[in-house]
Amino acid sequence: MFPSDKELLSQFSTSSTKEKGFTAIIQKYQEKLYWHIRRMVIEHADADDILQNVFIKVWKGLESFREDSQLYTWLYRIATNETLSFLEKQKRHATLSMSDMEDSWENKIKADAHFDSNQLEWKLQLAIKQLPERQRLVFNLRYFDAMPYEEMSKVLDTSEGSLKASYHHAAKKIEAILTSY
Amino acid sequence: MKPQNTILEELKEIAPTLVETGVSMPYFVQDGYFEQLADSILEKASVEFLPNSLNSSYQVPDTYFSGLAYKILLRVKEMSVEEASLYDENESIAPILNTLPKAMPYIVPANYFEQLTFQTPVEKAKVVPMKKMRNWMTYAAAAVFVGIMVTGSFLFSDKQQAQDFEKFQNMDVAAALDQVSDSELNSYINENHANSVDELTDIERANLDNVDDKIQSMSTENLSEYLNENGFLELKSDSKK
Repeated sequence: MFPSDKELLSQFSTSSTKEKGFTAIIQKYQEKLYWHIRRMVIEHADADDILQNVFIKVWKGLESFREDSQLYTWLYRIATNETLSFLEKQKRHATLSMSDMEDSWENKIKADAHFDSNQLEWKLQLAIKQLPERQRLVFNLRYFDAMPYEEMSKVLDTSEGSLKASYHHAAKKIEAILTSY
Repeated sequence: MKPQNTILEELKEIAPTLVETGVSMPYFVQDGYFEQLADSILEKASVEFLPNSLNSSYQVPDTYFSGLAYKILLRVKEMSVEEASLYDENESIAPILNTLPKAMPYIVPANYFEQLTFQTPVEKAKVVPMKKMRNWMTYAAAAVFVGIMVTGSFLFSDKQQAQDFEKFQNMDVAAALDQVSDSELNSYINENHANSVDELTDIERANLDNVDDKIQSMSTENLSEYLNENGFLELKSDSKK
């Protein structure tokens, strides 16, 4: 059982327990953030790089963190921004068209050593990769992390109504893709 | 109700053996029976009688009992309210999503999370802003400059020369020269190749010859004008008279 965020922030703000508090924050949130990132970038090495950058940014910015927002929301926001900028860079370097990018994502999934086209989990991953990037982000946060729309709007800086509509469209598309298999 | 003694007296009269047997019960009751009795009765009552009574006066949502098992399962698994809300949302949009396993198929290297450590960035030494350094250096340079200027002004200023000039101006040169011997004067003249008095007078005389010619050629008006402009000469000449 992890200490509360308030307790962790208090540890971090005291110089003698700063590193202890930071380590505890990492331990508490590392898995959630890792999976949030990996669902978007697919490959472990990329997810690991981004996660490291996220926590380095957290270390640098935690002192100025305003406690009126939730630590959990703030961490997701940093992780999301880092992931999106990584994907943006990847797109620029690849200079591929949108359809080529989608093929590239599909190839990445299929290249996984444990890929099994008969497994529902893999089918779902292939279906999710067919969604536009923003919709994919919303779907992942809602479906896998059960994030409330109110918090998601803080993470993605988008209105709750727009997020609900986005999830609705994404869920419908995925249902259609899965039933067509 | 009769007092206890009256009952015993009556019993002695009717059946004296009963009095000798006593009133204690030979049966045993399970420990805690009476403490749990109320709860067990209420539990039985709610199962057997409450549904009928509820049906008669309260309304239950149509899907209440169909989703009840799942909701209880969520509570058993300590799932969040938000997950329950997501379940309902998926049911209304795309029910297939509620049937899919949520486990991620991707593999994470063994012990990745256990070994995931971050080198906390080393705290850098406090950087002194260049501006402050520049200020300090500016003051130091200014102090050195002022020092040089003050020293220089003392070393190279003509204050001393002015003082010396004033001193020599007030000096009685004739008296001072009287104190110098002829041999000292001769040796000074020889060492400094100074012009002799005769040579000086020759030069002056040669110049004066030219001056006489020039004065001769000047008109009286020009001469008067010159004298008017240089009135102090008149004063000097007057004082000599």
